Amino acid sequence: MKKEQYSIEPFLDLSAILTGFERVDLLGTGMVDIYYDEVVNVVGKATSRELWETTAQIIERSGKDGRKFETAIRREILASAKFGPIARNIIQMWYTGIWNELPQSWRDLYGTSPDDTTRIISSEAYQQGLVWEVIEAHPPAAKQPGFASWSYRPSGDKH
Amino acid sequence: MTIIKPLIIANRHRLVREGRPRIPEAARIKTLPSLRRHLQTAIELEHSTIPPYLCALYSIEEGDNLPSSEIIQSVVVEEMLHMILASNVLNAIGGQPSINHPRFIPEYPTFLPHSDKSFEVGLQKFSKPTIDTFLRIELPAKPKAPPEANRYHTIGQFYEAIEDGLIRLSEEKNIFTGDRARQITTEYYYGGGGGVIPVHDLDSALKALSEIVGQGEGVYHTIFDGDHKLFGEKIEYAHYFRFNEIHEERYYTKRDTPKSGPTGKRLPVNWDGVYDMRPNPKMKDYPKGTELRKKIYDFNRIYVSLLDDLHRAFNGEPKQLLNAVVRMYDVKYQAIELMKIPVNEEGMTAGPSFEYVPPKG
Repeated sequence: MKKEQYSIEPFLDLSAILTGFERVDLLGTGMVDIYYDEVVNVVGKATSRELWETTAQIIERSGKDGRKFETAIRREILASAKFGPIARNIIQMWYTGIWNELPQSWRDLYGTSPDDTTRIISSEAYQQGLVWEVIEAHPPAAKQPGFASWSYRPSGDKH
Repeated sequence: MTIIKPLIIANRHRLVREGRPRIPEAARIKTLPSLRRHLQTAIELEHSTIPPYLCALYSIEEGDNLPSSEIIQSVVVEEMLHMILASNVLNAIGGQPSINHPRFIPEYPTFLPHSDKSFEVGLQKFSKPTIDTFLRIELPAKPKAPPEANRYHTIGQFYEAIEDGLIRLSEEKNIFTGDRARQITTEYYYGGGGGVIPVHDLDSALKALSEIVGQGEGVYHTIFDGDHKLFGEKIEYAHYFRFNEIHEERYYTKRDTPKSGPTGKRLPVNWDGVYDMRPNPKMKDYPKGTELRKKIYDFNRIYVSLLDDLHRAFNGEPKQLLNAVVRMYDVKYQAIELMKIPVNEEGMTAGPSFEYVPPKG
């Protein structure tokens, strides 16, 4: 892990709870550093640091209590006017590889970055979208699954 | 085509029948059960090279080192073909290939099955030392090297001992009594050099074996693999020489010989465009109950189900090979995911461990 351990760790933990995927699965996409940079770049260093710090505090407070962790994430991050839209963007980014322009109300309050535009982050991001894993399909035109694979039923055991 | 095929086989016959080089009496394969055991070993031998080749291949970062990726990939696909060919020969002489038993996958690093133990093969990322090992695996036999049924120095010597056994035993009686329905036929193989050869007599058996040895080491000690004669394909170099192109970072030309080495245009290799996979990964490297351990376990489960598919395909259900192809893609994508997961401060990553894990329940 090349980035400052302190920031990447809470980002990864936050991503795991928000997406419902394990940390290793997110690491396995190779997108952690890229998505981390994306968030920092768009919402700015100060706001993103605040988000990682809030996440780190929640983790420390809830210890190994998964329920407590989830409730705190809902209350303090998803329901927060400042962090909620970022968190929802993080979910969409992991699932679809797309960064969505933040809501105007958020931009009015917390500032606008020229990079805050709706776009596919990269071809890699498109291919690594978690949505493909969940629906047990492959991203069209990438990660081909082999001839006649479409004739098999999805196993239904993936998330 | 019909002129050249028997020619190659005739030469191989002569090589053995004239007794030059002679197989020492003690090293000969003398019974049908022994011949079957050797062919089972041949299947295991062909398989044992696949996980190391796959590790090197999947450690290459996406989009980097395209020429090297293509070379390694083409070799892996042919090793799979060799497994099929060896299974066809074994099935033809009434044997039953065993692909999914717990000891089928070697524990890496390992010596090659039945080899003279002069070098070990491990699961390593793409690097120059790794390619060195691959070169030793595919090393051509010296022209006068005697065939050996045990402790062979090259894979070619091992196969020559099997050929000798096939010829001697079929002189005594018809050994090709296997059910033809157990043969894998041409429609099941795609995407690689060479082709599937269904085996039902001595000629087709020797043709299958010469295809294996020719692709690996080259025919008659040239750099060519013989496919352009047997199958009318574009000229393709034998595995040893394809790996040597990566090693020397240069392509061969048609005029090159084993001695001249490659003299063609540069083959660009980026030795750094690689995930730094920790060598010879094992499940036990990570505590039970951790996410990473489970992820490596999941990989192994898929790999073992792939072997299950192959086992069924080689034991009377050839259509299972199509299942196996789909499963191979799963193996690939899961292996690549593991390659991206950092495991220590130095930035080394996890990797596929290729360990046998029994089905759940």
